[in-house]
Amino acid sequence: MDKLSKLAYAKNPKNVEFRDQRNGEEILFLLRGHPLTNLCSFLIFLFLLVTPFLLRIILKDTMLDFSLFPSSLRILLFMLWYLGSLGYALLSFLNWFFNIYLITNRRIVDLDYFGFLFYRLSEAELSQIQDVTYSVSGLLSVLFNFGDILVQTAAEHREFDFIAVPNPAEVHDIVTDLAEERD
Amino acid sequence: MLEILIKPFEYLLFGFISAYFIFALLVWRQVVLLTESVRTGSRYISLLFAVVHVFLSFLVLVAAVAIVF
Repeated sequence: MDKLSKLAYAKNPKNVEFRDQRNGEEILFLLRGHPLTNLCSFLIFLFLLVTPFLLRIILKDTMLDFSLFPSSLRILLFMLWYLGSLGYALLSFLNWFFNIYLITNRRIVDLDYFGFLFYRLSEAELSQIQDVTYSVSGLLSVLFNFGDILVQTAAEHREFDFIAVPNPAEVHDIVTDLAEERD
Repeated sequence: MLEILIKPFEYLLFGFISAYFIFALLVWRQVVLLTESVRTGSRYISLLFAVVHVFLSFLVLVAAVAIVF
């Protein structure tokens, strides 16, 4: 497994706990989306960083030439722009970092975090798992071996999507085996 | 004449920067809640990023106060 995948795929992770963890419940897998799923956000962040310099060149000698603005206004605009860019990068990172999928010896747990004011923790007992499918599609997914796993359950939250997790075939096998053991 | 047009715009940008500082505080709070939900070994990285983000936002807010007022 490549080094990037290891950031999103931990087997028997140490120092990991979650709220509502039961006595004797062991975490078998901690999964996240593959780090390459952040490539688009990273490129946008780079673009945001160079945009002020590009605009300065493009708008030179026009009505919106930055050098015509007072320095106080230029500094404020510059600070606000880079603060916004930093915020975008941070939110993209947090979206990736806190979209966590846990597989324990008793259940599966899905922590969804998106936007910046929303997160949801859903769980299902292994015995409630009805169907597990996985798919690998797209050039990067095939090259770096990551894909989506869809777990259908009889729990209140019926479907669990593990999006772009590394090594989906192995995860699929383990979830299916665990579910069969619990039946 | 230009000063009349520029000053309201500066106040507007100052408003945005103030709002951003509140946003940074909210993100920090959210990160604290999330790290309590799932405690991973690398949770301090996200906390560190959130704190640095708040600190930078605060510095920019202070600089904006110095520039606008």
